[in-house]
Amino acid sequence: MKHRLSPITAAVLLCLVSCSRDKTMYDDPDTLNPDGGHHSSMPSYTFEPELSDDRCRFVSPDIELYYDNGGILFCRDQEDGRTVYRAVDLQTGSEVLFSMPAGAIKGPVISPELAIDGKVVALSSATVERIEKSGVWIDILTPDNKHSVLVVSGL
Amino acid sequence: MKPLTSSSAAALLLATQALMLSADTVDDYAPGRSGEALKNTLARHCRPTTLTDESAVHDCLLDALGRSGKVYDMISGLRLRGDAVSSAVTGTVPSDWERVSPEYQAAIARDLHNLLLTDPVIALDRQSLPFAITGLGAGIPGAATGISFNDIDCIEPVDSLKGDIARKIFYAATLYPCELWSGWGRNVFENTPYPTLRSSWGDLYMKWHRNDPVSESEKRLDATFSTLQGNSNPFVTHPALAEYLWGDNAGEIYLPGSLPDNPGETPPTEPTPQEQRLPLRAVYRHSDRYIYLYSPYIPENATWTVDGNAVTTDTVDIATLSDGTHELRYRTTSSSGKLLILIKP
Repeated sequence: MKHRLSPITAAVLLCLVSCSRDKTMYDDPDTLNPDGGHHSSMPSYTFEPELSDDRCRFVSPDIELYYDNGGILFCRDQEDGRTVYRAVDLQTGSEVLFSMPAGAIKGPVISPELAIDGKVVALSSATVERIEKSGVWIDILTPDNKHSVLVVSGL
Repeated sequence: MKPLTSSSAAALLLATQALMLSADTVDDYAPGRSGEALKNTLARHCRPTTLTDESAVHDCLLDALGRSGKVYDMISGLRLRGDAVSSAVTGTVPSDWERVSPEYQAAIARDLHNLLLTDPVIALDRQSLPFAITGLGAGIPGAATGISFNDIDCIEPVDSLKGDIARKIFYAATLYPCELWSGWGRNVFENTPYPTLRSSWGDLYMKWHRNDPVSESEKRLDATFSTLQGNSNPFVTHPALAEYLWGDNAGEIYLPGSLPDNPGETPPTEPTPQEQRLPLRAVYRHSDRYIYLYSPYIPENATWTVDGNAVTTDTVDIATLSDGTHELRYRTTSSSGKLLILIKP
Protein backbone atom coordinates (compact mmCIF):
# COMPACT_ATOMS: atom_id res chain seq x y z
CA MET A 1 0.00 0.00 0.00
CA LYS A 2 1.39 3.35 -0.98
CA HIS A 3 1.59 6.21 1.55
CA ARG A 4 1.68 9.69 0.16
CA LEU A 5 1.91 12.96 2.05
CA SER A 6 -0.69 15.42 1.12
CA PRO A 7 0.60 18.90 0.21
CA ILE A 8 -1.02 20.31 3.34
CA THR A 9 0.64 17.72 5.64
CA ALA A 10 4.01 18.37 4.02
CA ALA A 11 3.65 22.13 4.52
CA VAL A 12 2.72 21.64 8.20
CA LEU A 13 5.74 19.33 8.76
CA LEU A 14 8.12 21.76 7.08
CA CYS A 15 6.80 24.56 9.22
CA LEU A 16 7.29 22.48 12.39
CA VAL A 17 10.88 21.59 11.43
CA SER A 18 11.61 25.20 10.63
CA CYS A 19 10.17 26.40 13.96
CA SER A 20 12.06 23.70 15.85
CA ARG A 21 15.45 24.76 14.33
CA ASP A 22 14.81 28.39 15.21
CA LYS A 23 14.00 27.49 18.78
CA THR A 24 17.13 25.37 19.21
CA MET A 25 19.38 28.13 17.93
CA TYR A 26 17.71 30.71 20.11
CA ASP A 27 18.16 28.59 23.23
CA ASP A 28 21.86 27.87 22.70
CA PRO A 29 23.73 30.45 24.79
CA ASP A 30 26.87 29.87 22.70
CA THR A 31 25.12 31.41 19.73
CA LEU A 32 23.85 34.51 21.49
CA ASN A 33 25.37 37.94 21.31
CA PRO A 34 25.69 39.88 24.57
CA ASP A 35 22.64 41.90 23.48
CA GLY A 36 20.62 38.75 22.97
CA GLY A 37 20.93 38.62 19.19
CA HIS A 38 22.27 35.73 17.18
CA HIS A 39 25.77 35.09 15.94
CA SER A 40 24.53 34.15 12.53
CA SER A 41 27.72 32.43 11.38
CA MET A 42 29.23 31.20 14.65
CA PRO A 43 29.17 27.44 15.04
CA SER A 44 28.45 26.11 18.50
CA TYR A 45 31.49 24.85 20.38
CA THR A 46 31.83 21.82 22.57
CA PHE A 47 34.82 20.84 24.68
CA GLU A 48 33.49 17.28 25.01
CA PRO A 49 35.87 15.60 22.53
CA GLU A 50 38.88 17.11 24.30
CA LEU A 51 38.01 15.38 27.57
CA SER A 52 38.54 11.92 26.16
CA ASP A 53 42.00 12.84 24.87
CA ASP A 54 44.63 12.86 27.60
CA ARG A 55 47.60 13.89 25.47
CA CYS A 56 49.52 16.85 26.87
CA ARG A 57 48.88 19.69 24.45
CA PHE A 58 48.20 23.33 23.85
CA VAL A 59 46.09 23.96 20.79
CA SER A 60 45.06 27.47 19.75
CA PRO A 61 44.23 29.01 16.38
CA ASP A 62 47.84 30.25 16.18
CA ILE A 63 49.98 27.57 17.77
CA GLU A 64 49.82 23.82 18.39
CA LEU A 65 52.17 22.09 20.81
CA TYR A 66 51.72 18.34 21.26
CA TYR A 67 53.89 16.50 23.76
CA ASP A 68 53.77 13.34 21.65
CA ASN A 69 55.53 15.11 18.78
CA GLY A 70 58.71 15.24 20.86
CA GLY A 71 60.90 18.16 21.81
CA ILE A 72 58.08 19.89 23.69
CA LEU A 73 58.76 20.46 27.37
CA PHE A 74 55.60 20.42 29.51
CA CYS A 75 55.95 21.49 33.10
CA ARG A 76 54.01 22.68 36.10
CA ASP A 77 55.32 25.07 38.75
CA GLN A 78 53.84 26.30 41.99
CA GLU A 79 54.74 29.96 42.39
CA ASP A 80 53.34 32.44 44.91
CA GLY A 81 50.01 30.71 45.37
CA ARG A 82 49.53 30.09 41.67
CA THR A 83 49.97 27.10 39.44
CA VAL A 84 51.88 27.87 36.28
CA TYR A 85 51.73 25.50 33.31
CA ARG A 86 54.40 25.91 30.67
CA ALA A 87 54.84 24.32 27.26
CA VAL A 88 58.04 25.07 25.34
CA ASP A 89 59.03 23.88 21.90
CA LEU A 90 62.77 23.44 22.39
CA GLN A 91 63.41 23.50 18.66
CA THR A 92 61.65 26.78 17.86
CA GLY A 93 61.55 28.47 21.26
CA SER A 94 57.76 28.92 21.05
CA GLU A 95 56.48 29.10 24.59
CA VAL A 96 53.04 29.05 26.17
CA LEU A 97 52.54 29.97 29.80
CA PHE A 98 49.20 29.65 31.58
CA SER A 99 48.74 30.64 35.18
CA MET A 100 45.82 30.22 37.60
CA PRO A 101 45.32 30.19 41.37
CA ALA A 102 46.67 27.06 43.04
CA GLY A 103 44.04 24.59 44.17
CA ALA A 104 41.63 25.39 41.35
CA ILE A 105 38.61 23.15 41.03
CA LYS A 106 36.37 22.28 38.11
CA GLY A 107 34.63 25.36 36.78
CA PRO A 108 35.52 28.93 35.83
CA VAL A 109 39.05 30.05 36.69
CA ILE A 110 39.46 33.26 38.65
CA SER A 111 42.09 35.59 37.17
CA PRO A 112 43.54 33.27 34.54
CA GLU A 113 46.61 34.51 32.68
CA LEU A 114 48.02 33.39 29.36
CA ALA A 115 51.23 34.44 27.61
CA ILE A 116 52.39 33.17 24.25
CA ASP A 117 55.99 33.82 23.24
CA GLY A 118 56.32 36.34 26.03
CA LYS A 119 53.25 38.35 25.07
CA VAL A 120 50.26 38.46 27.39
CA VAL A 121 47.05 37.33 25.68
CA ALA A 122 43.77 38.95 26.72
CA LEU A 123 41.23 36.37 27.87
CA SER A 124 37.45 36.34 28.12
CA SER A 125 37.41 33.28 30.32
CA ALA A 126 39.13 30.07 31.22
CA THR A 127 37.31 27.03 32.52
CA VAL A 128 38.70 23.92 34.13
CA GLU A 129 36.60 21.30 32.40
CA ARG A 130 38.22 18.34 34.08
CA ILE A 131 40.75 18.10 36.88
CA GLU A 132 42.14 15.07 38.64
CA LYS A 133 45.38 13.92 40.13
CA SER A 134 46.72 12.92 36.73
CA GLY A 135 46.06 16.17 34.96
CA VAL A 136 43.96 19.15 34.03
CA TRP A 137 41.85 20.01 30.98
CA ILE A 138 41.28 23.73 30.44
CA ASP A 139 39.11 25.56 27.91
CA ILE A 140 40.45 29.04 27.22
CA LEU A 141 38.33 31.66 25.45
CA THR A 142 39.68 34.89 23.96
CA PRO A 143 37.60 38.01 23.32
CA ASP A 144 37.33 37.15 19.62
CA ASN A 145 35.40 34.00 20.64
CA LYS A 146 38.26 31.66 19.77
CA HIS A 147 38.87 28.65 21.97
CA SER A 148 42.22 27.21 22.99
CA VAL A 149 42.77 23.92 24.71
CA LEU A 150 45.38 23.27 27.38
CA VAL A 151 45.81 19.73 28.67
CA VAL A 152 48.63 18.91 31.05
CA SER A 153 48.53 15.33 32.22
CA GLY A 154 50.82 12.67 33.58
CA LEU A 155 53.15 14.97 35.49
CA MET B 1 35.38 37.50 34.19
CA LYS B 2 37.80 40.03 35.57
CA PRO B 3 39.91 41.70 32.92
CA LEU B 4 43.63 41.16 33.04
CA THR B 5 44.97 43.92 35.24
CA SER B 6 48.19 45.65 34.43
CA SER B 7 49.74 44.30 37.63
CA SER B 8 48.81 40.71 36.89
CA ALA B 9 49.99 41.07 33.31
CA ALA B 10 53.24 42.44 34.61
CA ALA B 11 53.51 39.52 37.02
CA LEU B 12 53.00 37.04 34.19
CA LEU B 13 55.59 38.73 32.04
CA LEU B 14 57.90 38.71 35.01
CA ALA B 15 57.36 34.98 35.32
CA THR B 16 58.20 34.50 31.66
CA GLN B 17 61.30 36.60 32.02
CA ALA B 18 62.43 35.36 35.41
CA LEU B 19 64.33 32.47 33.93
CA MET B 20 65.84 34.57 31.18
CA LEU B 21 68.13 36.44 33.51
CA SER B 22 70.99 34.02 33.46
CA ALA B 23 74.71 34.36 33.05
CA ASP B 24 74.71 33.85 29.29
CA THR B 25 71.34 34.28 27.68
CA VAL B 26 72.52 33.27 24.23
CA ASP B 27 74.16 30.04 25.37
CA ASP B 28 71.11 29.19 27.47
CA TYR B 29 68.47 29.62 24.79
CA ALA B 30 70.04 29.55 21.33
CA PRO B 31 71.75 26.12 21.17
CA GLY B 32 69.83 23.57 19.15
CA ARG B 33 68.00 26.17 17.09
CA SER B 34 68.57 27.27 13.53
CA GLY B 35 67.41 29.79 10.94
CA GLU B 36 64.24 31.68 11.79
CA ALA B 37 63.87 29.93 15.16
CA LEU B 38 67.41 30.97 16.11
CA LYS B 39 66.78 34.55 15.03
CA ASN B 40 63.45 34.66 16.90
CA THR B 41 65.14 33.29 20.01
CA LEU B 42 67.71 36.09 19.93
CA ALA B 43 64.96 38.62 19.25
CA ARG B 44 63.04 37.46 22.28
CA HIS B 45 65.81 36.93 24.81
CA CYS B 46 68.31 39.66 23.89
CA ARG B 47 66.05 42.71 24.07
CA PRO B 48 66.90 45.80 26.11
CA THR B 49 65.16 45.97 29.44
CA THR B 50 65.19 49.75 29.53
CA LEU B 51 65.76 52.32 26.81
CA THR B 52 67.43 55.66 27.21
CA ASP B 53 65.26 58.70 26.75
CA GLU B 54 65.70 60.02 23.20
CA SER B 55 66.85 63.39 24.50
CA ALA B 56 69.65 61.68 26.45
CA VAL B 57 71.05 59.27 23.86
CA HIS B 58 73.69 61.72 22.65
CA ASP B 59 75.12 62.18 26.14
CA CYS B 60 74.94 58.44 26.79
CA LEU B 61 76.90 57.67 23.63
CA LEU B 62 79.45 60.34 24.40
CA ASP B 63 79.86 59.08 27.94
CA ALA B 64 80.07 55.43 26.81
CA LEU B 65 82.73 56.20 24.22
CA GLY B 66 84.66 58.13 26.85
CA ARG B 67 84.46 55.21 29.26
CA SER B 68 85.63 52.78 26.57
CA GLY B 69 88.76 54.84 26.09
CA LYS B 70 88.35 57.10 23.05
CA VAL B 71 85.74 59.55 21.78
CA TYR B 72 85.73 58.93 18.05
CA ASP B 73 83.46 59.34 15.06
CA MET B 74 81.77 55.96 14.77
CA ILE B 75 81.65 56.17 10.95
CA SER B 76 84.97 57.75 9.98
CA GLY B 77 86.97 56.51 12.95
CA LEU B 78 88.53 59.98 13.30
CA ARG B 79 88.63 61.82 16.56
CA LEU B 80 85.49 63.94 16.67
CA ARG B 81 86.25 67.42 15.40
CA GLY B 82 86.15 70.37 17.71
CA ASP B 83 83.70 70.10 20.52
CA ALA B 84 82.45 66.51 20.72
CA VAL B 85 79.37 67.82 22.48
CA SER B 86 78.16 69.20 19.17
CA SER B 87 78.44 65.81 17.45
CA ALA B 88 75.36 64.21 15.93
CA VAL B 89 73.56 60.91 16.51
CA THR B 90 72.51 58.75 13.58
CA GLY B 91 70.95 55.31 13.52
CA THR B 92 72.84 52.49 11.83
CA VAL B 93 69.33 51.52 10.82
CA PRO B 94 67.59 54.92 10.70
CA SER B 95 64.30 55.01 12.53
CA ASP B 96 62.45 56.28 9.45
CA TRP B 97 63.11 52.92 7.78
CA GLU B 98 60.77 51.51 10.44
CA ARG B 99 58.03 54.08 9.79
CA VAL B 100 55.37 51.41 9.33
CA SER B 101 56.00 49.99 12.79
CA PRO B 102 55.68 52.88 15.27
CA GLU B 103 56.68 50.70 18.23
CA TYR B 104 59.94 49.62 16.58
CA GLN B 105 60.51 53.09 15.15
CA ALA B 106 60.42 54.60 18.62
CA ALA B 107 62.58 51.88 20.16
CA ILE B 108 65.30 51.77 17.51
CA ALA B 109 65.84 55.52 17.87
CA ARG B 110 66.67 54.96 21.55
CA ASP B 111 68.55 51.67 21.36
CA LEU B 112 72.22 52.45 21.97
CA HIS B 113 73.36 49.32 20.12
CA ASN B 114 71.89 50.79 16.93
CA LEU B 115 73.16 54.33 17.32
CA LEU B 116 76.32 56.04 16.10
CA LEU B 117 77.95 59.24 17.26
CA THR B 118 79.35 61.10 14.28
CA ASP B 119 80.44 64.43 12.91
CA PRO B 120 77.38 66.60 12.11
CA VAL B 121 78.61 67.04 8.53
CA ILE B 122 78.81 63.30 7.99
CA ALA B 123 75.38 62.87 9.56
CA LEU B 124 74.02 65.50 7.18
CA ASP B 125 75.66 63.87 4.18
CA ARG B 126 74.45 60.49 5.21
CA GLN B 127 70.84 61.40 6.02
CA SER B 128 69.39 57.91 5.97
CA LEU B 129 71.55 56.29 3.30
CA PRO B 130 72.51 52.66 3.87
CA PHE B 131 76.04 51.60 4.69
CA ALA B 132 77.82 49.93 1.79
CA ILE B 133 80.76 50.35 -0.59
CA THR B 134 80.89 53.64 -2.41
CA GLY B 135 83.56 52.67 -4.90
CA LEU B 136 85.71 55.55 -3.71
CA GLY B 137 87.74 53.27 -1.50
CA ALA B 138 87.67 52.78 2.18
CA GLY B 139 88.04 55.57 4.63
CA ILE B 140 86.26 58.28 2.70
CA PRO B 141 83.11 58.45 4.69
CA GLY B 142 80.29 60.68 3.73
CA ALA B 143 81.36 60.87 0.10
CA ALA B 144 78.50 58.73 -1.02
CA THR B 145 76.32 60.85 -3.19
CA GLY B 146 75.85 59.39 -6.64
CA ILE B 147 78.08 56.44 -5.90
CA SER B 148 76.39 53.12 -5.79
CA PHE B 149 76.15 49.67 -4.36
CA ASN B 150 73.47 47.66 -6.11
CA ASP B 151 72.76 50.91 -7.99
CA ILE B 152 71.70 52.91 -4.95
CA ASP B 153 73.36 55.71 -3.05
CA CYS B 154 75.19 54.70 0.06
CA ILE B 155 77.82 55.69 2.60
CA GLU B 156 81.01 53.77 3.32
CA PRO B 157 82.54 53.69 6.80
CA VAL B 158 86.26 53.35 7.47
CA ASP B 159 87.53 49.77 7.15
CA SER B 160 88.32 49.47 10.86
CA LEU B 161 84.66 50.13 11.76
CA LYS B 162 82.92 48.13 9.04
CA GLY B 163 82.62 45.06 11.26
CA ASP B 164 81.19 47.16 14.11
CA ILE B 165 78.55 48.58 11.78
CA ALA B 166 77.74 45.17 10.26
CA ARG B 167 77.12 43.76 13.74
CA LYS B 168 74.81 46.70 14.56
CA ILE B 169 72.88 45.97 11.37
CA PHE B 170 72.63 42.27 12.32
CA TYR B 171 71.33 43.41 15.70
CA ALA B 172 68.69 45.70 14.19
CA ALA B 173 67.63 43.07 11.65
CA THR B 174 67.18 40.60 14.48
CA LEU B 175 65.45 42.72 17.11
CA TYR B 176 63.48 45.07 14.88
CA PRO B 177 62.47 43.16 11.74
CA CYS B 178 59.92 45.52 10.20
CA GLU B 179 57.02 43.89 8.39
CA LEU B 180 57.16 46.58 5.73
CA TRP B 181 60.41 48.50 5.43
CA SER B 182 60.37 52.13 4.37
CA GLY B 183 62.82 54.40 2.53
CA TRP B 184 66.26 53.00 1.76
CA GLY B 185 65.48 50.19 4.15
CA ARG B 186 63.49 48.53 1.37
CA ASN B 187 66.72 48.06 -0.56
CA VAL B 188 68.66 46.55 2.32
CA PHE B 189 65.97 44.46 3.98
CA GLU B 190 63.15 42.27 2.77
CA ASN B 191 59.80 42.03 4.53
CA THR B 192 60.42 38.60 6.00
CA PRO B 193 61.05 37.41 9.55
CA TYR B 194 64.14 35.60 8.24
CA PRO B 195 66.62 36.18 6.74
CA THR B 196 65.34 39.81 6.67
CA LEU B 197 68.62 41.00 5.14
CA ARG B 198 68.57 40.78 1.35
CA SER B 199 71.16 38.28 0.19
CA SER B 200 73.59 40.68 -1.50
CA TRP B 201 73.52 43.00 1.53
CA GLY B 202 73.86 40.04 3.90
CA ASP B 203 76.91 38.90 1.93
CA LEU B 204 78.43 42.37 2.09
CA TYR B 205 77.91 42.75 5.83
CA MET B 206 79.19 39.22 6.50
CA LYS B 207 82.34 40.18 4.62
CA TRP B 208 82.70 43.27 6.81
CA HIS B 209 82.00 41.16 9.90
CA ARG B 210 84.73 38.66 9.00
CA ASN B 211 87.32 41.19 7.89
CA ASP B 212 86.88 43.41 10.94
CA PRO B 213 86.41 41.05 13.92
CA VAL B 214 85.20 42.18 17.32
CA SER B 215 87.88 44.30 18.99
CA GLU B 216 88.48 44.85 22.66
CA SER B 217 87.20 48.43 22.43
CA GLU B 218 83.99 47.20 20.77
CA LYS B 219 83.55 44.69 23.60
CA ARG B 220 84.06 47.44 26.18
CA LEU B 221 81.52 49.66 24.47
CA ASP B 222 79.04 46.78 24.31
CA ALA B 223 79.53 46.12 28.02
CA THR B 224 78.86 49.79 28.78
CA PHE B 225 75.66 49.74 26.71
CA SER B 226 74.67 46.55 28.46
CA THR B 227 74.99 48.30 31.81
CA LEU B 228 72.86 51.19 30.57
CA GLN B 229 70.04 49.32 28.84
CA GLY B 230 70.29 45.74 30.10
CA ASN B 231 71.30 43.87 26.97
CA SER B 232 74.33 43.14 24.85
CA ASN B 233 74.50 42.90 21.10
CA PRO B 234 74.60 39.10 20.73
CA PHE B 235 76.67 39.45 17.54
CA VAL B 236 79.39 41.18 19.58
CA THR B 237 79.33 38.73 22.49
CA HIS B 238 78.84 35.68 20.20
CA PRO B 239 80.18 36.70 16.78
CA ALA B 240 79.78 33.18 15.37
CA LEU B 241 75.99 33.61 15.50
CA ALA B 242 76.14 35.68 12.31
CA GLU B 243 77.57 32.71 10.40
CA TYR B 244 74.57 30.60 11.50
CA LEU B 245 72.08 33.22 10.33
CA TRP B 246 73.60 34.80 7.22
CA GLY B 247 76.97 33.16 6.65
CA ASP B 248 78.53 29.84 5.76
CA ASN B 249 76.56 27.95 8.43
CA ALA B 250 73.16 29.49 7.63
CA GLY B 251 70.40 26.98 8.36
CA GLU B 252 72.59 24.80 10.59
CA ILE B 253 71.82 24.21 14.23
CA TYR B 254 73.71 26.60 16.46
CA LEU B 255 76.05 24.97 18.94
CA PRO B 256 78.27 27.39 20.87
CA GLY B 257 81.96 26.66 20.71
CA SER B 258 81.79 24.77 17.42
CA LEU B 259 83.18 27.77 15.53
CA PRO B 260 85.85 30.26 16.60
CA ASP B 261 84.33 33.50 17.88
CA ASN B 262 86.14 35.51 15.25
CA PRO B 263 87.39 34.41 11.85
CA GLY B 264 91.11 33.72 11.89
CA GLU B 265 91.15 32.84 15.56
CA THR B 266 92.29 29.39 16.63
CA PRO B 267 89.31 27.02 16.78
CA PRO B 268 88.37 26.23 20.36
CA THR B 269 89.98 23.18 21.90
CA GLU B 270 87.56 20.37 22.66
CA PRO B 271 85.81 21.36 25.87
CA THR B 272 85.32 19.12 28.83
CA PRO B 273 81.75 17.91 29.43
CA GLN B 274 81.32 20.54 32.14
CA GLU B 275 82.61 23.34 29.91
CA GLN B 276 80.35 22.21 27.08
CA ARG B 277 77.18 22.19 29.19
CA LEU B 278 74.48 22.68 26.58
CA PRO B 279 70.80 23.03 27.40
CA LEU B 280 68.34 20.24 26.64
CA ARG B 281 67.11 20.11 23.08
CA ALA B 282 64.76 18.04 20.97
CA VAL B 283 67.16 15.96 18.89
CA TYR B 284 70.54 14.41 19.67
CA ARG B 285 73.05 12.40 17.69
CA HIS B 286 75.51 9.90 19.09
CA SER B 287 78.29 12.29 18.14
CA ASP B 288 76.90 14.69 20.77
CA ARG B 289 78.18 12.23 23.41
CA TYR B 290 76.24 13.69 26.34
CA ILE B 291 72.80 14.90 27.27
CA TYR B 292 73.12 17.65 29.84
CA LEU B 293 70.19 17.57 32.25
CA TYR B 294 69.95 21.30 32.26
CA SER B 295 67.63 23.89 30.75
CA PRO B 296 66.95 27.55 31.49
CA TYR B 297 63.28 26.53 31.85
CA ILE B 298 64.00 24.04 34.64
CA PRO B 299 65.19 24.67 38.23
CA GLU B 300 68.82 23.71 38.87
CA ASN B 301 67.98 21.47 41.84
CA ALA B 302 65.75 19.07 39.89
CA THR B 303 66.01 15.31 40.22
CA TRP B 304 65.76 13.37 36.98
CA THR B 305 64.66 10.13 35.46
CA VAL B 306 65.33 8.88 31.96
CA ASP B 307 62.82 6.31 30.72
CA GLY B 308 61.75 5.85 34.34
CA ASN B 309 65.26 5.20 35.66
CA ALA B 310 66.69 7.62 38.22
CA VAL B 311 69.75 9.58 37.14
CA THR B 312 72.15 10.74 39.82
CA THR B 313 74.59 12.71 37.65
CA ASP B 314 73.91 15.86 35.64
CA THR B 315 74.85 14.22 32.35
CA VAL B 316 73.67 11.13 30.50
CA ASP B 317 76.07 9.32 28.19
CA ILE B 318 74.23 9.03 24.88
CA ALA B 319 76.04 5.75 24.21
CA THR B 320 73.92 4.20 26.97
CA LEU B 321 70.69 5.01 25.11
CA SER B 322 69.35 3.39 21.97
CA ASP B 323 68.32 5.29 18.87
CA GLY B 324 64.74 6.52 19.03
CA THR B 325 62.57 8.36 21.51
CA HIS B 326 63.29 8.64 25.22
CA GLU B 327 61.36 10.31 28.00
CA LEU B 328 63.05 12.66 30.47
CA ARG B 329 61.23 13.68 33.62
CA TYR B 330 62.23 16.01 36.42
CA ARG B 331 60.86 16.98 39.79
CA THR B 332 61.55 19.49 42.53
CA THR B 333 59.52 20.32 45.62
CA SER B 334 57.49 22.86 43.64
CA SER B 335 57.69 21.80 40.02
CA SER B 336 57.66 18.86 37.67
CA GLY B 337 57.91 18.32 33.96
CA LYS B 338 58.59 15.96 31.13
CA LEU B 339 60.10 15.93 27.66
CA LEU B 340 60.48 13.48 24.80
CA ILE B 341 63.84 13.60 23.03
CA LEU B 342 64.91 11.83 19.85
CA ILE B 343 68.30 10.17 19.46
CA LYS B 344 69.52 9.69 15.92
CA PRO B 345 72.48 7.60 14.75
